[in-house]
Amino acid sequence: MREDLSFARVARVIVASSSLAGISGVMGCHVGMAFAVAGSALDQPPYRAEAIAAELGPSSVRTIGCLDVGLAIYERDHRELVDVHVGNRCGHPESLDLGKLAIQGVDTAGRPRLITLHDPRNEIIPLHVGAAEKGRERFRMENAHDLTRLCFDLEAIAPDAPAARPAPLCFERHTGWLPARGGLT
Amino acid sequence: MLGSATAHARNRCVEVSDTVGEHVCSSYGDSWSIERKLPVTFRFGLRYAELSTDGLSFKESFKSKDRPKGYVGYSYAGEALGTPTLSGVGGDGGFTFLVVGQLYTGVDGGLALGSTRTATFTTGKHTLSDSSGVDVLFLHGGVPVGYRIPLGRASLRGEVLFGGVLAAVSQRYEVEGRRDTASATAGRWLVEPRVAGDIWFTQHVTFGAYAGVNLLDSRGHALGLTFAWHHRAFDGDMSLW
Repeated sequence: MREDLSFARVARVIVASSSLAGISGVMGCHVGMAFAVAGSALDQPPYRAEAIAAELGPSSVRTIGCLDVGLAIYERDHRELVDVHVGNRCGHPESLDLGKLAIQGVDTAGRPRLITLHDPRNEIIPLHVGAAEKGRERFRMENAHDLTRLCFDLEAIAPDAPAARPAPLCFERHTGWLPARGGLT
Repeated sequence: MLGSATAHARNRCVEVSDTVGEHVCSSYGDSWSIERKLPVTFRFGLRYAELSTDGLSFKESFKSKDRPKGYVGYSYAGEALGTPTLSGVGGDGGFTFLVVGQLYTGVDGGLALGSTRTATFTTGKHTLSDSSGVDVLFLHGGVPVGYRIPLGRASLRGEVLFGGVLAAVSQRYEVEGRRDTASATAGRWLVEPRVAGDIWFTQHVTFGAYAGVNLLDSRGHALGLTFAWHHRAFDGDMSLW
């Protein structure tokens, strides 16, 4: 009787572990394969230094520490939009705080005006750009109507590169927004 | 409001804007920030495994409807097989996630097939003999716990797989003048420390290899080749320091 009980207990353990092994074995293999293949197929290639400059033109891009940051300005439905492109040249995450992006505009009368990014949900918080990752975010600029010139001060947006002193990125409105030479004036 | 009304039609989110603050299906930073990407890795690969027959208790696995009423299946000790180890080659895979830093855990499992030459022996009323062809099946599953050391474009991992392995051996049998083929199964716990190395091919894809031994089985070895996709670029860190 004692032997029977012991055997039954061992058998139960074996059946239980076998079932677990079987289920997780087959599931693990299939799930791992399905997601690994799908993920790899959908992957974007690693970011290469200067890739944003090649896309937008070097006068629309600044390198701040590990980050290449490029801007493109345009108008859509009477709203001024800015595309912020960012690429991490390095093999480790770099912090990016677009909430610290300082934007100043000049209106048609020549008066300076402070511009802010539209952020009704307070989403624009400091985040880390993954190693070799590339991203793009599109923002609406508030209070940006009737401007002839826009300047973006990028100095504070990369907390991991406190010594970086990137020159401001300025744009002038012609038929569209084009990179400008010089500063705000 | 219009966005949220239209965005979840048929339980599938449809993006209504490409502008931050107006998205309904995504958030700022979803595509590039490490904070917004779950640190999950999916992997699959090839595995070669060996299992010692010593100490295993095999029991015939059968469906009652396929046997005469009152039939009692055979059972035997692994040593009776006349071979010290069983081996198999197959696939394995699973997923892991980073718990803290580069410490990870998850689920891992696999299936392997092999061939062996077994002795002819009698157990109870059954006489068992070798079955040719693929006659060994392994299923293993468990929970890996490991730590990854980033070494630039490579990484070194030490992990332990806690789980179980199921071995099935197919044999010919003869009982009361009836001949057929059946399989017997045995289980063993798995505590498999592994050393693994990976090479990053992109920021999300690695190829690697591992070698492990089962601490509960003196002849239990495993070797594997793996392909993995990491949702978080370089698992968040590829630097040496």
